[in-house]
Amino acid sequence: MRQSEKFHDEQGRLAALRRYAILDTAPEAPFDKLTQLVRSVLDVPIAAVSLIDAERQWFKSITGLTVCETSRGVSFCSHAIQRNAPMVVPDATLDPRFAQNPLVTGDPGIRSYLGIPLTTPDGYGLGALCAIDLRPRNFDASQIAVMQSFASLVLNELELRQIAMSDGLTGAMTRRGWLGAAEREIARAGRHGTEAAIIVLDIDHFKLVNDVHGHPAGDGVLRAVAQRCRDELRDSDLLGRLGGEEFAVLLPQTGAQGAAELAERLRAAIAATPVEAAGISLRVTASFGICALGSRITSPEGWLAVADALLYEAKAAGRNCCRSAGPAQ
Amino acid sequence: MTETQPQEVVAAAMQPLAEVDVPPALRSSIERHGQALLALAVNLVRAGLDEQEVRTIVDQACASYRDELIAAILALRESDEAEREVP
Repeated sequence: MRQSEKFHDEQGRLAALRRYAILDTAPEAPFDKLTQLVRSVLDVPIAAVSLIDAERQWFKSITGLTVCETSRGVSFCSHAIQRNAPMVVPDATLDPRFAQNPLVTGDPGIRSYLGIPLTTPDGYGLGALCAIDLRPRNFDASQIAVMQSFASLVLNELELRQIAMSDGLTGAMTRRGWLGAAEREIARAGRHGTEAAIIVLDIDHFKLVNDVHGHPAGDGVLRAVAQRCRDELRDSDLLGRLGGEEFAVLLPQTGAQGAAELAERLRAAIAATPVEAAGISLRVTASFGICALGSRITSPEGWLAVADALLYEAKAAGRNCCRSAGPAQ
Repeated sequence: MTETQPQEVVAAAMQPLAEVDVPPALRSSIERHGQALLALAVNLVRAGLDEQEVRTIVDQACASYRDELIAAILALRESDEAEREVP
């Protein structure tokens, strides 16, 4: 996909934002330090790292205001990510896009804005680093260049977080990263009444692969299973490696039936063709437990426990099969 | 500030990172961070900030990254240790 097309690929953009697994996370000092520096160097009262979700802008860090999110409709940064260049608004009251914006006509009374898109290496605009003033002003070229440097630092911090949450062998999220994402999904589903589900899968007789064929073959199997899963998943689904040969998939906005259908596709994809690993052709299967989110689930660990119990039912039933439960009420 | 000074400022700010045992997965991040800091230092000089201000800002920006880098290293180590514990 060309860069210009990515600016219109909203689903791909939102999926990229989910992959960074940063929405609704707690404040973190490195981001706060950078917004404080922007505020000081640019001499503005407000600076923020704004991430643009489907219906809202959420601030990973904001200094000078106490809000943590606004609707997307009033977001200046939502306009900034439409192009891969700095966006300067010298006087919002004179700009038809913003003159009637409640953040301009009311509190905090935004008058000028400088936003630098936070664009991922694969070309998706996650949000913007912005400097906001309550008086009209023109940001000059040197100030824009300084902001671009700060934006590069913010993006590198985001990349660093993502590397730390990635399993080096398979590219799936680490257990810690995946559990954090599941916890936020529980909170999001609670706030918005949306569906969600998880699939837990465990490779059958994996220990035999390691014992008989050696760890290089085992590593090859793990990589192949992760890849076959990714091939079947939507961009918004999050694959995690919980440990050893156990993986989990977090499925936002997916009910019990959708999750069960996907698990069956994953099972079939893994079993369909032998895995070539360390020069050996190995037939691989996996067992699956599926659990849709319900009101009794209040923690990712509790959610996993239900799915794990179903996974072991699948193991007991002969492996290479799926067992699922509806929303745990 | 002369042409070489932004590089010296960044080198001094990055010096503590040289003492950290960085896993290969994070080395490209450090390289990118160094490049972004250098661009910041050059742009701060062009914006008219004096040397001491540039040093302070670059040091603070690097310190914030160092905290995140250490957290990332610990997370990767935790992940590696969990891997080794699998029978």
